[in-house]
Amino acid sequence: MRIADAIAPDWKALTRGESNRLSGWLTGVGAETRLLLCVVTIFCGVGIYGASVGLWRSPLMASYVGVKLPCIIFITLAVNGMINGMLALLLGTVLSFRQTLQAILMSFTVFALIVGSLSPITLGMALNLPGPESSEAESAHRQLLLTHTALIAFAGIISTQKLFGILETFSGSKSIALRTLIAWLAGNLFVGAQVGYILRPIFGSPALTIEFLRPDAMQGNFYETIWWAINHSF
Amino acid sequence: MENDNKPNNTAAETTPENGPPSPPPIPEKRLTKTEELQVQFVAMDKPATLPNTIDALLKKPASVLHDLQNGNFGKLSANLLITALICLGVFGFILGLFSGDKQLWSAPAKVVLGVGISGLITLPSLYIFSCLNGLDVSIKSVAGVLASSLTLVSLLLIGLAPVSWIFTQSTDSKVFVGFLTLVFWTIALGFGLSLIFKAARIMGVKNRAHLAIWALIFTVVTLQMSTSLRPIIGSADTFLPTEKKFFLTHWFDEMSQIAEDAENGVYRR
Repeated sequence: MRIADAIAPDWKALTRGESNRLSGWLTGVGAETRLLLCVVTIFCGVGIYGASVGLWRSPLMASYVGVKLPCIIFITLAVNGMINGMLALLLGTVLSFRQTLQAILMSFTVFALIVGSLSPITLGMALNLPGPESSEAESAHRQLLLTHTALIAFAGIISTQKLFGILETFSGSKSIALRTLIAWLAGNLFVGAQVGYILRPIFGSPALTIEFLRPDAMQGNFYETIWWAINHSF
Repeated sequence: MENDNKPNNTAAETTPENGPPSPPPIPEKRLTKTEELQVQFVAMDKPATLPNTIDALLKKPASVLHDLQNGNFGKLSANLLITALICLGVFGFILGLFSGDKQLWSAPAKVVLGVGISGLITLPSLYIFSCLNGLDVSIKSVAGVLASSLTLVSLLLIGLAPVSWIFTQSTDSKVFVGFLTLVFWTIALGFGLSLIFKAARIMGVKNRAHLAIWALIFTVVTLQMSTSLRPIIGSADTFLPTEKKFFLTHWFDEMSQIAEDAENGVYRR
């Protein structure tokens, strides 16, 4: 109970987008930065949501996706950490490398809180839809895919909005905040899509076997697949 | 209950308690972009060590330009050179990982050589074009600006290196990696060239048309250099190409060759 009492105001600050307080986390040191809180929240929130994504296939798949979904976030942040930090400095946000990383982590924490809070619903949905062995499996899989895409997009938009607030407060300029946000988003989406592709399966097509990683995980890339799909669609 | 969101009194408001009205505040004069840059054109606040030079180049590039022009040229240019060499070498190594084998050493060497030669052969034109813009500068200070710009490019490339690595390890498509590298080069070069334009602003250049032409020439030179030193991505029997080509011709040839191979089911890396 004591832990919940300590964490609740911080979660509230993040979800309400209290930019002044959140900027204080960026300038703070040690425990003031709430770095651990952000990491744990992402692991738990996104992990639980990931489990709800995979649960429709099987409990084993739920555990795989529960681990992989937070990993996508952390690997993307690690890969883009250096360039995000450089872009923040060059675009005039005056955030250091550590502060850049933390600002993005805070945004992902908001994302984790949103999807985590929705996970009881998605868990219920996974348990109530026709199973992967049923004749309606394909249709259920499509519904799941659409629902999760919509939820992830919604959580992504809200968390980006909060990140913009933090950046604007910190840099004191709307245009600098916007430029930095666009640069970070472009980089994170570009790399995140590929990391997600490497760590597939996430949604687990009913026809394919359950596995942690595909044997050809490092063969091909997300963008080639999209290009191939476009070429073969017309 | 107290209301925290009390409206602020305007400066010109008069009440019996606060006496005569105070004059409205004088609006602050907004600095122009050039003035802002000139304000930043001050000495580096830390000694010119390697980490401090990198830090200043990213945070306050104008202060690096200031120190390069005002007496700290030797130390700073050595720092810039070392940084650029290491960053370009590492980026080249990442590109070399796509094919492995002897590309692990030849790709970094070619990236370093390519950027170095491009810088050297365009330095005289940058100097002349700066003078055409009415600047009273020495070739040394122009070299300093160009070195800072290329170091910034190399720093951005090293920032993008982890992304390159992910793709070089997960795709077999030479065209894709080539295109990705071209995009990364364009992004990095954009920031690098903007530093040269900033330097021109600081020095009081109003019409930057000549510099824009130089920037275009420099871009073309670097792209041609990537073709003259090919292959940087992919492998070949010789270190340097045996056939001379314009970079656009090379790109189109490569793309049609790969399309042809794909049709015939031939796999090339």
